[in-house]
Amino acid sequence: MKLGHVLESSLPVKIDLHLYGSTELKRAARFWAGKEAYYFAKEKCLAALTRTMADGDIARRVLAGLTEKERQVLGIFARYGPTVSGGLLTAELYTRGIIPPPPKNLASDSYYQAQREWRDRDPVPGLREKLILVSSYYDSYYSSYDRHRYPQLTLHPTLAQGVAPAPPITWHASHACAEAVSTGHRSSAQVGLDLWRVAEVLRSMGTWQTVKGDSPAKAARARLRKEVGLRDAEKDPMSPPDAESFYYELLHSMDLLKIGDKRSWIHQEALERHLQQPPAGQARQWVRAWLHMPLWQDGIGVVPDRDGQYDSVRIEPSGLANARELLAWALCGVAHAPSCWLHLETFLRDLWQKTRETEINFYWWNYSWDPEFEMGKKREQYPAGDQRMLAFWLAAEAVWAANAVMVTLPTLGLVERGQATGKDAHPCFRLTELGRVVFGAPEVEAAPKPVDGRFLTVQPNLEVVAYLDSADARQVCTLSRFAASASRADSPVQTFELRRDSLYRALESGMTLKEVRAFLAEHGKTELPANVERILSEWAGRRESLVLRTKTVLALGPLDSQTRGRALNNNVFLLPSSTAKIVALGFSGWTILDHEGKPERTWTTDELGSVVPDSRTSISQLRLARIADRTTTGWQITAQSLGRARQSGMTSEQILAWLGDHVKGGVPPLLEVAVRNWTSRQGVQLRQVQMLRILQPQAQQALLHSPTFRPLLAGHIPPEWFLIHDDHLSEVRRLLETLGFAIAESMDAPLVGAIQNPAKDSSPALPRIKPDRKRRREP
Amino acid sequence: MSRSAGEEQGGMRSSTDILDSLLPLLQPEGRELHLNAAIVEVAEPAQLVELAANPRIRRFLMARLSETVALVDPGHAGEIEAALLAAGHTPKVLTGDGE
Repeated sequence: MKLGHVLESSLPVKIDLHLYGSTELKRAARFWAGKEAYYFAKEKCLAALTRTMADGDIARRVLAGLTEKERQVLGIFARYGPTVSGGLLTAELYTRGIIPPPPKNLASDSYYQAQREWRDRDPVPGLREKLILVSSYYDSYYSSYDRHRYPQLTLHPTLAQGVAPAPPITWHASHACAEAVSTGHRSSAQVGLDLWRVAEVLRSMGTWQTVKGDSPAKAARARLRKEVGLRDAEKDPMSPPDAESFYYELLHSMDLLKIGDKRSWIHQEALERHLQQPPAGQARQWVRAWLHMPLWQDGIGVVPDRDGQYDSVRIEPSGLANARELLAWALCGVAHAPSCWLHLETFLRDLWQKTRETEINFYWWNYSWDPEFEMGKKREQYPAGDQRMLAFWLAAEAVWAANAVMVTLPTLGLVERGQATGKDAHPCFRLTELGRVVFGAPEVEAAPKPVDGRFLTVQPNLEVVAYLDSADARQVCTLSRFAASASRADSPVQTFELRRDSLYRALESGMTLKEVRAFLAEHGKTELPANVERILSEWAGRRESLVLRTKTVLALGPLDSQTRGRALNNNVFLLPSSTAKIVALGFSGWTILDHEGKPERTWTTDELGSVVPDSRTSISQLRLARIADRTTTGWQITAQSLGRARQSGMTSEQILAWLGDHVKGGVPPLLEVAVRNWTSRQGVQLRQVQMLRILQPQAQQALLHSPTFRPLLAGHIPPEWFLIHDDHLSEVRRLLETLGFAIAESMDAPLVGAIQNPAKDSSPALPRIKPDRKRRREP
Repeated sequence: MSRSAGEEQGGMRSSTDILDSLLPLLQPEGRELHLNAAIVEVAEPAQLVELAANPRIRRFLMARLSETVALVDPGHAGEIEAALLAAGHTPKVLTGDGE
């Protein structure tokens, strides 16, 4: 499989000549259509340009007329796609020596002369003037006294066919690095497995809520973290921060998630297609996804999709995209150099040097891993000039780059990291074989691997030991479809377990037992143990012995001779489930019951549970038989009938839902209370109490807050009723008389329904009579 | 419905008798066509006895359609699937009459 360049542009080419002014069009038309076009009106210029730019012969003539430098510029566009970002173009032009570095000495008398001469040697403005390279009209040419960066430009598509791509650039490290120790890298299968695990949890969630920028909401992130449990930067600074979210954003960036307005879900088929690709094809997509992943940032983790008003909450996304592109560009150069270890600091210094005109420049300070470069630590000691700028860069942006090179890209299996040998253990890295293929494409291709594919051992205790270095992602993901992962360590040797539920999930997702057996046999280093084979067959057999069929069509009654169906009983038939066919068959005279629709309300009931149904359909009769006893006039719901229903597992909510479905006009509230009482034994307390009624609000408050009265009161029904302990009745009477209250022996109690219960009126020190806090469930 | 002489004498109840008490046979009074119905099919009547004896599963079963097939309470296919899984069963879930 030949890969395209990892930085290949996928932007659609859009050239709108109408956006140009008449002078610009005339200049271009003169080049494309001939000198006379300079005198054309704007519309005629547009017509001439449209015609000539579509003409293949004219395109060949245009290309033949270009200078060598101009052809070299176009070669860059042929290498990276018709559109090239300003940052990449700038780095390429300087590194290839197509233009020399701009003059820097502002204080020199000859600066302006040198600047003018330097500009005259730049082939890009001329190509833009001829509309060979076109840009978005509003994309300004960025140039200042100390930097000269180009805008994003597109090579005119008619010309793109006839231009040879520029050759790859080879990275030359300014200082060599000897061998490395403590090295480590991940296989593509490990990455694929992590991606699969995150996707599996998302799939098991079905849908989840997202926040701005399509990131998962807090609850979804917490669940991902709990159920996937990848090692992250909190435990190990050399692991990515918010590791599960990193994979989530990869899936999102690869368009494998479907993000809805309120809920999101995973595009399972597209994910499986992705995982079926060869490792290098998958890895190339991971890198391209990472390049355009704004809400997970290297060394930082998940960031919000907004910028803080006063404080920085993330690296500005366009600055980060530029930085990632330039870093990937540098690694493309590394992929074309002989494979060797690179000192991280040396590499980053070289990167700064090569990208000075379009530098990686943004503001952030707090990364999960800080390599603490010596020069960065001493930045304040450098005098103004290049060294000081480099020192400050090494203390800030280079830390981001270090996290990308030493954490993010190793996580994706593209970089191997280690420690340089010597007295100081400096971090160093090199591209893995996979990394060389991805960053070296299209020139570097994956070496054909000997086909073996035996990467696992099935043990009699149902454990599967998988050697991920010998597997690819699609094989490991297939294994994890029917075997549960038993180890969470980030190791190239992983243990899985064959479990009844894991096999069941695989079979439910469409795999067959035969496929499972064949996979284990094909990839097993040893034969499948006989007991494992037997257990797998038994588990699969159990599934076959219990079938839940949904959305079936059942005919309860004798069928005519033309209707075909499977007889479940003498009088019950399972029919083909096409609704259209049912209509065509014409079951006139039959009662149609749709189990997905609401049943007809045909029950009449009173408060005491007497039910009279108007309909005798089977569902209505079966439900009544479950919850009620038959009487001479209909049915009667009783404590005993509901006790029977409870014994068969029914809950009060289920019973009330049935009543709500069938009873005309809704369930009488008293019957609902009775159903709850009969099914859950809700108790009430009934006993004799002594009550004191005080009408004056001032006296009520005085009594409530009185240290003398408080021990004598048993409760308070706000605002005017007080409960008195039996044994304190005479004492209360004596106190009230002493305090001048006239005590009436008879009491005018209010009617039921007139009693209000403003609990806020009473003292918290006394027990209040509170309203029922259980909210009544709506039917 | 009828018990064999041997079972009567030995005091043993057939699975049909047990099923009758746990999950009665559906006997509709008229001709009915049920659309979008969910059913549970098992290989042996004893399995249906096992399911009907479990209140957490029985609550979603309406009636027996045969010795090995039960009708699910309308609108509760998802719940019975969850209940079966929770009880350690591994039901093959199919849509319609297909295999």
